[in-house]
Amino acid sequence: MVMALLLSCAILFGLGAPVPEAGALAAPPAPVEASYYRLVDLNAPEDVVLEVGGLLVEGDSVVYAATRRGEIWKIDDAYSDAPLFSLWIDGLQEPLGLLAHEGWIYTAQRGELSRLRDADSDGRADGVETFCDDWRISGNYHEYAFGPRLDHDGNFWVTLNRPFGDQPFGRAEFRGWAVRITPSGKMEPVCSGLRSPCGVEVAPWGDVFYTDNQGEWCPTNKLSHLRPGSFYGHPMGIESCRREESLAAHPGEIPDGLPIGEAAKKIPLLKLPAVWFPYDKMGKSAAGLVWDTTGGRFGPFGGQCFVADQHDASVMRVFLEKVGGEWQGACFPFREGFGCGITRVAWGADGSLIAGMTNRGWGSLGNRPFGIQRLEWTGEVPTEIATMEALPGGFRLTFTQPMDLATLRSVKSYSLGSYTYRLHEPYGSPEIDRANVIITKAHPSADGRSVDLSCLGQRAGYVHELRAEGLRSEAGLPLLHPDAYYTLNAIPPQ
Amino acid sequence: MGVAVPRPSLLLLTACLCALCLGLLWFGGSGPQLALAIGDRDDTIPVEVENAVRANGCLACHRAEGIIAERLAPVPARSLHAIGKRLAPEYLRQFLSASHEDRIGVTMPDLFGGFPPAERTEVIEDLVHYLGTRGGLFDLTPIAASPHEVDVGRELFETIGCKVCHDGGNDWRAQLAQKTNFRYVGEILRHPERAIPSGHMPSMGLTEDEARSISLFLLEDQSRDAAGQSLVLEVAGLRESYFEGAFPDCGPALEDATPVRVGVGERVGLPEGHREDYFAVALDGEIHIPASGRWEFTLFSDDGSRLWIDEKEIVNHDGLHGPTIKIGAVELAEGWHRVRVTMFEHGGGQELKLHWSGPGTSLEEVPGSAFRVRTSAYQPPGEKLAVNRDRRARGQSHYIQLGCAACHDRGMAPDGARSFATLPAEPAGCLDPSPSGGSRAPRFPMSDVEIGGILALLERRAEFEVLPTEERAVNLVFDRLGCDGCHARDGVGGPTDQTQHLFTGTAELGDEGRLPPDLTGIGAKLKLSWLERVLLEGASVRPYMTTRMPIYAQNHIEGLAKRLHRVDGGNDHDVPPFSDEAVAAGRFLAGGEGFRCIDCHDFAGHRSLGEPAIDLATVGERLQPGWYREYMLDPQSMRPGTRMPAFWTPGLDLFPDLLGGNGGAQIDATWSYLALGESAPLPSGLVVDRRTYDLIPVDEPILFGAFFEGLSGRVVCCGYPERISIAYDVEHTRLAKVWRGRFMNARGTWEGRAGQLETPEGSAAIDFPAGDAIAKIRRESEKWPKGTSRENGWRQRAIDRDSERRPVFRREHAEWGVTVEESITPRYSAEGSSIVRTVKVTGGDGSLMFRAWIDPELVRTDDGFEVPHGPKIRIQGGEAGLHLVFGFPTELRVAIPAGGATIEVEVQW
Repeated sequence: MVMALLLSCAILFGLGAPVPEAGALAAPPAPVEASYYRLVDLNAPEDVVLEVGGLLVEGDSVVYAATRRGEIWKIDDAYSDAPLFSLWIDGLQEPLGLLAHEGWIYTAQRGELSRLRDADSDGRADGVETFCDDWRISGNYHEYAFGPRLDHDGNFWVTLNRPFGDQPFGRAEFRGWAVRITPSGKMEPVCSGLRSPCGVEVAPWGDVFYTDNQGEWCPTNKLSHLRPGSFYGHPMGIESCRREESLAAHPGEIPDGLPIGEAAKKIPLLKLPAVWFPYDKMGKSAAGLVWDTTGGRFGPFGGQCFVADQHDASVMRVFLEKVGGEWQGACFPFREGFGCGITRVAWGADGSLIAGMTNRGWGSLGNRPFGIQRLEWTGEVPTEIATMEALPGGFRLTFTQPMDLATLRSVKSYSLGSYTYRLHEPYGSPEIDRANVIITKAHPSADGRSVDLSCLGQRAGYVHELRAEGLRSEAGLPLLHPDAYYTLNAIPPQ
Repeated sequence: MGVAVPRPSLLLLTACLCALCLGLLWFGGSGPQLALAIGDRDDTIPVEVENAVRANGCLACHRAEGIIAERLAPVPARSLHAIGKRLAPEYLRQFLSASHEDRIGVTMPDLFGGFPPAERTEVIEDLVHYLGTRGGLFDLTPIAASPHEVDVGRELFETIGCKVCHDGGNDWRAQLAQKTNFRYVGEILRHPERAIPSGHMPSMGLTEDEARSISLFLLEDQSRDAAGQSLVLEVAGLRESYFEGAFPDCGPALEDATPVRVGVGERVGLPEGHREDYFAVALDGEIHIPASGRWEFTLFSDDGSRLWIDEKEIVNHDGLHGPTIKIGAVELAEGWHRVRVTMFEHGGGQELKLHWSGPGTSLEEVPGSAFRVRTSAYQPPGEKLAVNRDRRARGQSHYIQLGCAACHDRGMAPDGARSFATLPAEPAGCLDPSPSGGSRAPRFPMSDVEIGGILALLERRAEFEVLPTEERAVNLVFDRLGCDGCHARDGVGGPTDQTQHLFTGTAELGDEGRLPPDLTGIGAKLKLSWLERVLLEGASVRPYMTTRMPIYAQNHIEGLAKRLHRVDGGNDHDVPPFSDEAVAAGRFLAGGEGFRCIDCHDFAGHRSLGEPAIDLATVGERLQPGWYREYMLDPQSMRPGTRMPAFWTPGLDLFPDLLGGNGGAQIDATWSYLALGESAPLPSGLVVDRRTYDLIPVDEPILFGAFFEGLSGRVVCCGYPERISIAYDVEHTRLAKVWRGRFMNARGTWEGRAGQLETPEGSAAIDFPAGDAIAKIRRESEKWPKGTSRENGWRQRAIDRDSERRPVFRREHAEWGVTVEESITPRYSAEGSSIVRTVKVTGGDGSLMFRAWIDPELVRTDDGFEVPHGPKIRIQGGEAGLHLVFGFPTELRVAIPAGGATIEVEVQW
């Protein structure tokens, strides 16, 4: 299967990687992801079922983990070989996020945004306060609530999954929505048309983003900017737009089966994703996300976004830029091989990336059912595409290492193709309307840190899939990940 | 005179497959012999002799009246109504020809002594044709079986207790194999009381698989032909080997694995009775290819599977994966080919199917008829009876004339039989040790010793005109049922040097872990109700013992439980006074800070920390309080050799601050605690496996949020260590349910994608009134408001946790300025547990009412309210009264004064 895919790529894009001439470059042993980012287990007692739904880092040594079994564990000495686990609270319903704010810990349960604290400092939560329960659930397993995340105005953002199947206690409003909860605890439904929005995060500059999962009306996994009033493609919950409390207008009729660019023209409220994660190439189930605010302690990708995948037990990397007033950008493979599917990522006090995992219900790669691992930067800088920016008539790549100018200059070092998706009811969309994009010229910068690619056939509204297998660094290394996927909703003006 | 008598109790035990007549289940001559000197034992006739008179059915012919007829009532001989279907004709023939031979376990007399040899053969043949057709002909259909099952059966037979009575060795099994077939042996093993109502064979609580294995072991000789060659049978299907374990694949990992069981599977599919996760199956046999050509095989499985044909791997779909297919193709010639399919399951779902397509066959599941397997087989003995109608008719009249019916059908005594009262106590007639050729008297297969015993009884038959003493009645039952084969009582019986090895169990517990308990004084130890459960249901608290307590039918035990209770002086009701303090002290002593009982003892189904000694939550149900008290003080004197230490040794007070250091009070406290049984809070220090889905509160409550059947999608349940549980509906801001016993199995909420509606795991669930618990009621006649709590203005505010981590549910009515905090406190009494529901209302203008209960039958009592045969309710705080409106259930309403009140509602149910 993998072979067949590779073969089809090669045929479609009309090239294979050029083979370096023997002896031209000394080939050191090919580095692997683990050479740059190593996994460290957070050892948990055998009887703690750590199916992580939420992570919260406190101070230098404490991590809180909310589990799908409705518990929050307080983990002291979290970065040591023998962390101490204590049950902080139990009895929650699938808490799928943790947030510290003004002395409280907030969590989203299925049916409410709750807050907890340990005012008497006895090491246990004093109880659970209902902060907002203005949304409803019907009793369907898929009615998860993700979040909360705090925006720069002090509002809490929660994303609400749509139900699948039985709704034993009656249909509920505002399913498949992103809601904003004011500091006084009032819910404002702001965005409709979400499907399975497992990740929600506020970017350092204040915009709110979320990840969604491939399925009906969601052609592949995606990262989208949540702008109040926008519609995100799934018609299931849009009738709630007509309710008084809705801050989103009804998007109108949703045509079934149009290419996504066409659909956007027919549905003015439809918000295109900033990044598509092409299915199977960039995970199968996008989940939690964080922006790198470690100030370089996690390596050379400061300011970029890391997105966990709940199926592939991997973390992907996202570069965003604003084009025509909207966010768009590229995603890159980053690190695979975690213990199992990752739901949540958070920055550890030591600048490591803490991954909370569970494979329950959907299965994943990896050999564990649940747990927490930390990803530490070894200090070695991998040879990677750092950014992929859109240019009028091409793309600019920047690199984490100075690259060999000859390989940068050779158009044979790259291949580029493009495709888009269909917005429709069937589960997922194939990559449609595929075409080759011809790189006519590659202009490297003198320091070998970037290259501008001039292209024929660049298309707005298409994912541009790049493979740069022919590149070598000055040190002779190939790219650790030669692939990048740029979601070109708009081409920057000249 | 000192003579040795073969132990008649064995005779009777063997009444299983043989009952009184056609039996052959004799177990060799190695059985223990009882030295018996008639007249030596307090000048009474031994119980063995009394039982022998009954077993031989003396009074079936020699009738008596009054108490003696009752005491010596013949044990009914086996009904012969379906004997033709059950026993091989050739066996019937041999048996009738030689029934007088000394086969222990058989009391059938020789009735043909008076016939000349030629006539005798004819008469017997006629009887064979009559009996051999009763209930149908003997079924000779062979059955498929695997040698593996024989080993399982042997192991069971030798360890669960069968062999204690049936110690006949291979000769016995060989004879059995000549006698009957697999089906009948299985019937007897599974339901002896139905298969042979007149017999004494108890049920051993065998599963169908166990009965099958034991049958195959017993009839092992039927798996070989006369030359000793194994019989082989070809059947449709595949040999199915089922494995359990966490296999990484279904190739190399299964090569050396030992199957849990082997059977015949109809086609390629999941094995019958497989468990949910962590198993594997291998299917072997031959597949018939209908036409030569290229064949495609599609394996559908979750997790991995493989297919081999003629030892060549055709499909390798191994490894961990979901329900997916893999296709392989191969050129095959028409005809039979060897086939093997393996599959393994790790976690999650499981699937296995095989489809094929090829020349003339479009894609379909491979039908069972395409498979065959050669398997070892069992062939029932002998040949089919060629029925001769004349013979059958003659046989029927012989049956009547010979007096068979007197024993077998409880018919008339044969002509000429003397009454019991007039029988001479002489070795003549039936009791003639060496009868002359012409005598028509039946000849019983009795030894001289037995005859001697019966003669002695006849001499003193007047003694049997009164009922036996209770003690003798107990001994008679013990002897008849063979209790003494396993149990000692008053120094008699129990395992012997010859039978010691048959008792196995948990090695760490020593002899206590393997030997059935001594029954001396058992009637003063066990409560009557428990004794009856032990005898009639096989109730057992010793999971560490391999030997099983048999399950007897009511008519077997003849009031044994009550007799034991009376003889030993039982008293079930000497219960110490109950108090909460006693329960708390008892719980402390049982737990990790106290005497650490849970180090050795299981508790309410939870494993001990070490050896699995008797479950302490059964104490109150099983034991008499007086016995318990004495046992705690000095275990060794009550159960010599026990590993149970004495905790309350005079002069050594380990917990002087507890209950004033009074040892007796401390022992009573442990009784009060343990007697709560399933309601008892688990002892502190018990280790609960948190990885399972069973939620078991030990030291603090467990809270659990879920979708709940009949309530809403937002329900928080709380399991209290006091074995009380509640469900609070957060969506509807109300306490909804309370129940007892087990709290919750969270599988529906925690397994896979989950989202099932949960229900209480325990028992005795009661529902609180639906709707708001508190409402504004301005007029006495006003109905309780309808609508949801949200519509009515209530909102959930918090679930606080108190110092014991118990939840306090807080809700608010913003418009009224009213806050309600509600909590539950479990309480214990000698009758079990109750709850106190505390509702603290803050605010309100005096028009608020709390509705505590609804029931059409609710009435006021001296100290509160109750529903007849239902809960009792006592209320403190506020002003409680019944609200009756015609056509509606009665409501128990409590008026709340302005500013609020704290209302306590105690509910006992």
